[in-house]
Amino acid sequence: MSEWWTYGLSDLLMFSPRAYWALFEQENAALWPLPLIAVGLGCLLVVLAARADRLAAPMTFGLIAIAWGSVGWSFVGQRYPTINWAASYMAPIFAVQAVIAFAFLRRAVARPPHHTAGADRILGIGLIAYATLIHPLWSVLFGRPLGSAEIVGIAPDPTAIATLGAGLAFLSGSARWLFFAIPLLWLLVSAVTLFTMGEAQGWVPAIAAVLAVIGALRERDPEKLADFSDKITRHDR
Amino acid sequence: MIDRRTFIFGAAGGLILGAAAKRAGAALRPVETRSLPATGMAIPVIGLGSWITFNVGDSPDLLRQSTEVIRAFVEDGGGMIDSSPMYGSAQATIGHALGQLGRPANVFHTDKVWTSSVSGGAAQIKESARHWGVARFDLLQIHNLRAWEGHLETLMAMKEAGEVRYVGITTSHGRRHGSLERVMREHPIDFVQLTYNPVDRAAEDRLLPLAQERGIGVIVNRPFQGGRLADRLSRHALPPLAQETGAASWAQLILQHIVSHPAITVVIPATTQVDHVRENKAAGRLALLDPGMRRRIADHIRAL
Repeated sequence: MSEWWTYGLSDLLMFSPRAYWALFEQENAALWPLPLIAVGLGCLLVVLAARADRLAAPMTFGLIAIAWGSVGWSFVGQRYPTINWAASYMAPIFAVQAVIAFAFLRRAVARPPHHTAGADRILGIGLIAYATLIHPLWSVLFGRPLGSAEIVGIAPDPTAIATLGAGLAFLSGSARWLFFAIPLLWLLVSAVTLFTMGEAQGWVPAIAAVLAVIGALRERDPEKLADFSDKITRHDR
Repeated sequence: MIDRRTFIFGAAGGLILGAAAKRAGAALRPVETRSLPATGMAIPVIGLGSWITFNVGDSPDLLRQSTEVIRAFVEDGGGMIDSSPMYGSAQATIGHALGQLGRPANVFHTDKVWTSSVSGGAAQIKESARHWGVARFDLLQIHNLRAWEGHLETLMAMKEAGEVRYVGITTSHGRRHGSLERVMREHPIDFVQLTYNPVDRAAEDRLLPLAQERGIGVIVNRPFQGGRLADRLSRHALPPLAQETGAASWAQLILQHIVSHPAITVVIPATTQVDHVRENKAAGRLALLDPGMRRRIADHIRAL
């Protein structure tokens, strides 16, 4: 498109809210009863993040990898392009995130990560729980059919939010930002898309992304935390 | 594909219109038609666009709703339905609807070529025709002047071979009017598509007079600025001057203003609602406005 920079976002948006939300209804119906199983697996993610035992991180990264692979292949690669030809260019990005999650799975098996502690871990668990249990309810709250609910592992937004939650719960430092990059990018794209459509739900991906970034920024280095802990212990003696 | 134009927009259109009128319980006069400068063929001034509205993917419910919109359009005289490969699933939606409606004869099938690859143009047109379920298009246009030199050669060759009846070129949002003017002056195109409404009137200066001078049909897109103009005006009461024109809504007043310009051949508002199709079509039955009234309407809207 010539002079594309002179177009506003609303000029470039090629579908209506009704067509966009209908995608989720179609996807859930086509994959049924997988959405129900996906909610169950989302609940498992919450439990894993809360328990934070030796198997928790590898299982979480494995489920996240499967989720990004399936959402990228099915919703972003097949369903979304029926109304947005640009979506097919986004599908490979989902595959990249699946590969990144798989790499973290392998790393977690070889060298179990320090589980994060404090507010960012609680925020991480909260984001996963939100993505699994609360996010699907927006469809009804905004007057859409329950069948069009966005389900973690089926729809991109809750999958990205749960991924940020997993990153807060299990990763730190540069690894966390590597894990965050694509989900944050997607949530930005989603927020802009929803706002351009005039949908108030655009605040959801925007706020989720901001919360995750705030959580990541106030992270404390686990090694420094350990040193601090040692000092306190010595002082107590 | 349609060939018997006089029949299509005359007798058949009248029969269909008669049925619609009977349902409405009133005798409707036909929607205003314009003769295409190139051939003299008459076409209703109110057409149907498909940007966003018919991009509904595979949703059965939305495909059904879109079919009803096209059914209402066809029952009210039909005319130009315009789409593009750029519009997502819009072509397939139109093809689905036309198939459901038994391939109505009063549709003027209009599409575009939209690719930077000149060699890929023919394949894209073939794919578009497959989506529509037609053997050939009535009008093919070069979308937003994209790679227009190469595509124009392709389309002119297709026209020469009888693979398309008319050739055109498009722009929107008032962009690239200089390039459009050059194409209009230097090439024997049949149609030009551009944005024109009571607010966006840049085309009035040079392009519309040039179209009249060169015998080029003019298709108007974005009559409601993609809905923004209609939304803005909906906050204001319809002015008293609408009583003078006979318009019953802002949409009708805008469409009446547009089609009253003598250079305009057809305006292509897009909609998802059957009621809006009927309202738009009804605007094509209103009396044409003189330049003074058109100026008053434009001034009034600009002042709001």
